[in-house]
Amino acid sequence: MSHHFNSPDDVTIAVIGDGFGALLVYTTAVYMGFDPRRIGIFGESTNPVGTYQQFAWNLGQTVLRSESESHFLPADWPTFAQMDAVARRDVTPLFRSIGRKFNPGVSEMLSEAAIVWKSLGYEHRVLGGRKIGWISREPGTPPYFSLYDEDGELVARARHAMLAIGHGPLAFTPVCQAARDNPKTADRVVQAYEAKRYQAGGRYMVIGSGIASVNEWVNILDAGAECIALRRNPQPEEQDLNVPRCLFDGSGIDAFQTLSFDQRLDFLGQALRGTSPSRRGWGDRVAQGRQAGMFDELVGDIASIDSGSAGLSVTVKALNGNQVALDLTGIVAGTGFVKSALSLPLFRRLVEHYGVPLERERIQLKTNCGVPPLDRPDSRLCMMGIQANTVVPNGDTIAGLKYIARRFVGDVARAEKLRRRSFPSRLAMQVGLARKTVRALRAVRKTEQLA
Amino acid sequence: MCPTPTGRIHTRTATLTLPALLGLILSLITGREDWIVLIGVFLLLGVALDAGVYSWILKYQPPWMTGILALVEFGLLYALAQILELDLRPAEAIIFYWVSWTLATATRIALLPIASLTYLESSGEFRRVEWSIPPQQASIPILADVESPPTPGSLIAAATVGSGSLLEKKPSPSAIHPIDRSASG
Repeated sequence: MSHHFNSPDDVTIAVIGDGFGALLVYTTAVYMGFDPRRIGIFGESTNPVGTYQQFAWNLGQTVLRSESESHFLPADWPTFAQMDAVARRDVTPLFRSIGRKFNPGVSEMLSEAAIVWKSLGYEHRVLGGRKIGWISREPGTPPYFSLYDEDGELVARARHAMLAIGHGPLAFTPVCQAARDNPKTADRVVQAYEAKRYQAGGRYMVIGSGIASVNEWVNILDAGAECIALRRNPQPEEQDLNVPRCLFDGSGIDAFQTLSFDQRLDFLGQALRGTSPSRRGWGDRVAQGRQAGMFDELVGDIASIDSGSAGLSVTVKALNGNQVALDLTGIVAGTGFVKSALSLPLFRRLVEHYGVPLERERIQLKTNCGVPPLDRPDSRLCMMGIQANTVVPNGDTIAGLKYIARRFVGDVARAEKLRRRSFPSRLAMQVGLARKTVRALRAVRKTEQLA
Repeated sequence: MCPTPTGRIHTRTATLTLPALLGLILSLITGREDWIVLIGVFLLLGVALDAGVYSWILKYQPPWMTGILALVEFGLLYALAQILELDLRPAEAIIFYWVSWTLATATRIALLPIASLTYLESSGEFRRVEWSIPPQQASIPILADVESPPTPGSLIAAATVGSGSLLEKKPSPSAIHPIDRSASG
């Protein structure tokens, strides 16, 4: 990590944020031909997978939801299944991939990320080691942005910037939030993404039916506790990815972008509602739990949460209008993250100062993920992640982050008249990273496939 | 992948480059041009299937479908080669087809994603690395050009309840009401 507290760094590409998005913009830019010294990552951590790793650990997640893309390699070949097959001298991953039943293990995928960031010198380009709190569009020619930290100190200047600051805070329903604010019940209502521990003989309610919730069902049953799954939607859809499959492709994204902003928000509201993947291991475990009287389901909403003899006394208003009072040990909310742009201080400041347009608390990005009115072709200001899923519906997945990173870097390359890396050089770089990944995978314990 | 018709044709053409080179080399070595002709027929057959069949029945193409399509295309190409009376022995044609298919598949899986960074996410099309819809082409709501909002006139004022103006009761505007026979002879 570089620290230049007195003289600001000048870079061509600045990434505001230090997670997956930052790593993908960096690798794409290097792959296309940018000198790493022209790229700056602005955040506190040199480990771009740290936040994800913590969330995955808290969730008890062992495999990824997506199938066999290349993930953190710059280009899309070789796929993870191919590298896994070579590393372990086992063709099973290839057959699983052909049948779309291959899900890379979290530990394998994180090993690949580590290989990529160390090989390409990512950590040396994490500049300042501070969060960016303010971005200023400077007048005049050439156009550039000034980046300031939370204390208002100038950290860097950049021609182009990508906002990749990730999710907002964890989301709770109003009733759960009230219980979190009540000292008598606060510690018994947790989020799926938070660290937690289940007690054998306990009884837990899990809110939601997405992948985080289903993960918790199994974790609770594995701990020898009882699980009550509560969901609003009577018939959750089974889907391995966050959005319908063809929406991931260019054709789907093209079609999505032809909708008006309002239509896109409505579509996302439909497409992203509680989808959960089908997993052989999970399905069996839940079926066993149901048979043993350890698992049950309710469709409805929590009406009240109070402290009770077992810890919590919870009233649920079922879909049919009946009220059910339950004694519980705790509640786990699989309700994800707050999607409002205003929940992130940097965005809120941009909205207030520059009049960045909002619609239903989401930033009305341009179709190139540009942030109006600050973005311009010769000095781009883009956004990626969940805040950009109004343009790229899977914007918060690795595939979606890559989609945005590639196009952003493509725009910058055109604006900067970059001499692109040649095909042989790209091939050599990709094969070199793949070879190192294969070697690293040999040292990683094979993760059990759940599908 | 969910390839578009254009993506299928781009992919078909690009993946047959190496088989075409192989066919050209074999034609030059053996003095029989039917090697390269077979690849030409394969390309035409493939493009016809891509444009007229696959695009309509396979919106989403799972990976395992590749092998099935290869078998179908093998049968069709073999029949076409018989009809066209190509100067190749059956064993030669069969081996050449499967070698070509392997080369084409390897090209598609390994080389095309390196040649074009967005090949896979662009539904098999070779696009510039740019956004599907540039901001200049983004759809915007169409609104009538009204210079200023209309201001309420005297009619509105008179029609307002409590304004003091009385409106005589008239028959309902509905077409279903009693006929007024007093006016008729």
